[in-house]
Amino acid sequence: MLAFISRSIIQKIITLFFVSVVSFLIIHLAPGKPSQVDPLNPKFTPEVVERFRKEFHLDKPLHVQYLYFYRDLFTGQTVSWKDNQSVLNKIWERFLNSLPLFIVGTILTWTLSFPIGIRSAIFRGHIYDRSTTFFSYLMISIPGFFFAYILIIFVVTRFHVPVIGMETFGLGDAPIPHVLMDRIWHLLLPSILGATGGIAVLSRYVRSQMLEVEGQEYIRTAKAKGLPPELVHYKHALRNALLPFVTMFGLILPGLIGGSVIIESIFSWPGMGRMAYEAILARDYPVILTVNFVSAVLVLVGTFISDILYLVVDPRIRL
Amino acid sequence: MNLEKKTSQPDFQLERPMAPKSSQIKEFWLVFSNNRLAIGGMIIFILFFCSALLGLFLTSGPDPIFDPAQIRLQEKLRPPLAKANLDTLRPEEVPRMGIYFFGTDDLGRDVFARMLQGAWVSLTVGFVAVGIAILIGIFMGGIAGYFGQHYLGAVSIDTLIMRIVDIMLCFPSFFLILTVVALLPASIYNIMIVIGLTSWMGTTRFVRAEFLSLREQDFVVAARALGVNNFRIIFRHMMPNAIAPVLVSATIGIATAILTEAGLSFLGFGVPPPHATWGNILSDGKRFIFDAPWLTFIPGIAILIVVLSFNLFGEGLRDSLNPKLRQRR
Amino acid sequence: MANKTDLISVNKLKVNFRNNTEIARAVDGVSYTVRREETVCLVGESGCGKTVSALSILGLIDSPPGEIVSGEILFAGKNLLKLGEQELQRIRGNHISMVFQEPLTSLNPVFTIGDQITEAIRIHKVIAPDELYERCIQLLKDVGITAPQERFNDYPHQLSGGQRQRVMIAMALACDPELMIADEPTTALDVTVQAQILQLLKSLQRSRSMSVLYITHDLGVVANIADRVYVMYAGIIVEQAYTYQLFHHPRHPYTQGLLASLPNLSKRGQRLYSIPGTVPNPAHKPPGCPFHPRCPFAIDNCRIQCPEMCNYGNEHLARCPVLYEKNPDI
Repeated sequence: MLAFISRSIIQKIITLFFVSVVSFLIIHLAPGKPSQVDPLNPKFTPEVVERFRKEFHLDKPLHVQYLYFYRDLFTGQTVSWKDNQSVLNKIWERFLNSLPLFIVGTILTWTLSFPIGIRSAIFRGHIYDRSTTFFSYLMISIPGFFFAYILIIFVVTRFHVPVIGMETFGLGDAPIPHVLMDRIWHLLLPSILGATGGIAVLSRYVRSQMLEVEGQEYIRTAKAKGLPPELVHYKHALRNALLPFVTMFGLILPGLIGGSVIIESIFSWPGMGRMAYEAILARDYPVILTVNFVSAVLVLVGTFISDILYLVVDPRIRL
Repeated sequence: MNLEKKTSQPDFQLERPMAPKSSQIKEFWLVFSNNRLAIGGMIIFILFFCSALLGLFLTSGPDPIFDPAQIRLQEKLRPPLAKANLDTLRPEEVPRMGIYFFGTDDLGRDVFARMLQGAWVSLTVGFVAVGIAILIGIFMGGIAGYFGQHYLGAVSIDTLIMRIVDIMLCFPSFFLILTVVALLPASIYNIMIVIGLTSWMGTTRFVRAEFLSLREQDFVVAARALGVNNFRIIFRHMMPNAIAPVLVSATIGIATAILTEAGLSFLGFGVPPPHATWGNILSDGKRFIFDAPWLTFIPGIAILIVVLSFNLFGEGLRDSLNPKLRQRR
Repeated sequence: MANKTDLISVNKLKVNFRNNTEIARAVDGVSYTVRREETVCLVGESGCGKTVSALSILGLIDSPPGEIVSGEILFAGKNLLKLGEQELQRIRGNHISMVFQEPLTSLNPVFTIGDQITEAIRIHKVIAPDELYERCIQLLKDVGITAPQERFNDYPHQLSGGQRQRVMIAMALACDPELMIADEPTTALDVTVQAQILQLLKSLQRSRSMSVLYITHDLGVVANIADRVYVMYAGIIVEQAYTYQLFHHPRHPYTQGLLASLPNLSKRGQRLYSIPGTVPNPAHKPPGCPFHPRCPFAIDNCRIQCPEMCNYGNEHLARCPVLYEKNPDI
């Protein structure tokens, strides 16, 4: 067990190292040097650019730049080129903004997918199964921003509530329930949008997993014992079908960063995705690299948690 | 024994048991044609393909039948099926049949012509990107699955390739595509290549898995025992057995690529003008969503239908090609 | 022997499997009876419908694609095919239980064997927890599991193949059923383990005075444990008899072929016989007697009409008038 964990951690650290190298290379080998930040801007005189290059070690060879960058990152000294603020602080601030979206979205996804998927597996081929199948594909296929606009038009014209941004400005001295409702209205649409795709994919996966398990022989054994269908489905089948999802639970971590770029831009939500997008627009390399690094860390931590969870829940795996 | 003598007599003729002969394709079609959603998907898939091809002919050339680039500022934001105002237009500006089937955009360009042109561009982006991804995926997966046990220095080829896959999977894919596309000069080719280069990992994984199980199977072992060379084993014996899931993921991959391109367009990093894609028609139209909703809804619904048909078609293929599911039906 | 009362009788059972395009008549009018305290074997090649006919007793045919078309299954005066799902549940595992072929896949991998054995008792009987535990340990002892207390909390993958099948049998015995259906319980096991399991089943049948319906393709097993035998071919019963009679005086060419293809010492140095041809596809059975394409004795009438059961006395019936007419001596 301990050997497995330490081997896994070492492997993940090596992977992380290569990820950091690759992302560094992608950014620095792309045409358009970081030092050419907006050459048309009159503030960027050759002297300023020169000082800028010195300050960020851009005059050094690439591998030295790499070392400097990650030294700064690990000591928390990395600063954004755009506003000279600490990148880690910036990310933390935006992360707190993204968190409610992420939490509500995840809860919606995980609480809705399972009942939907299990039901459509049990009633396979019935009208319920067919309609959820079609609806899932519809949700998978719809371009997210198009769907967002449809929802925005619907909600704005129907309920006359503002939905763009995190809150309505100028509500400072409004009563608390009012402010709360305002926050919830703002949270609702983006988290529903973030969840729909996930619900569609996950419920399909739950369904196929359930069907796979329902075809197994031990289900027949359970039926032959005279168990009522509820016990057969929800004890014998579900317990086996759930195993792979335990591992997927670790994989929702990276969702903290990815996937929300478009939604956060539509709703002007000042979260991580939007910050990443703004950083790309501004060619703010320290921010881009740090976001990339953090999300790689999240992916690796997520898979690590998955592996450990699998060990815990599947009696067949013992180390 | 009596029975044994009887069957060994020359005049005993075994009557053939009547087992029906049906080819694999026929059997596949039997299952597939029963899946109405998949059939619908396939029909739309074919229609889309034809209209994209047709669109290429109708909108290109020096004097196209539908001109997607013709600007008529006096006719901007006309609703769908509006008649062209013949008094204000010069004769060469008048749209075909004097009608704007899908209306006009903010520059007075014929949305119908732009959609026709965009169909071809979207299709190319999808096909080329997925083509790149599939080629890399088959190559890497095939090598990892077939030559995996060979060692390069300290690590086996299999470990090496799978670690590369792991590294690639660490990047948040849309964010990575966005970063690279934003850093590179805007061009349709860069978008295809970048989408292709960032989406080959899935194919690699299952081609490898498929090859790993195939190479242990008796027909491959037999072929090797007969002295068939590696090249022939891979392409003649193993590939045909591994190609079905690749086709399925390609179909679904095209759908994903079209969606990704639309997402990039929306953020302003899509296929640059003068090419019209459904993604950039939609993202241009969003500014007029209350005044001219058709500019958003026509391309949006078109993308939805096409992507949906690709997904349904792909899933139908998967169900019909998967022998395990086929038995359970 | 013949005075024992019938426990279960299957009458003219027909089960179809429906595909997208074809209908397979997997079980095509099968009748058999199991009496109290006897072991009956259902013999046939794979795909002849023996498992399907047994599964329909418990109502475990998946529908779709399966469909019980007609017939009746009488158990304790009730027609099982007419019972509702809940009434069937009360019979399954309680009065009629089943042991399956593949012990590894037939046990749920994520529950302990103790849990899986006691489950049936908890469902069907009212019982105190400590008594439940005692009973489970006793069952495990009865089926010959050593150190049952330690095994109680093991998972199926921690047991060997033979032990798993013993657990399956313990599970089937849990509620003291009147009938146990054993569907090729030894096929997946090593030969030595097979013999042990057969021995176990035989002694359990006697000590618990239950009936066993044993499904197999192995005539060696039949000779070992069966009181009476039904031979199935392509969805119909072709011959039924007491075991001794069947082995010494087979009246159907198919049975004869099966017996002829058994290896034995007197045939040393000879080529082993095999029945020519293959089993027909259940969706495309030949008209007339389903065995006629492979039968050396087939006459014209066999191709047109499937013969009725002919009675050869002492409950020996065979669906072939031709063989006896031609060779009354065997």
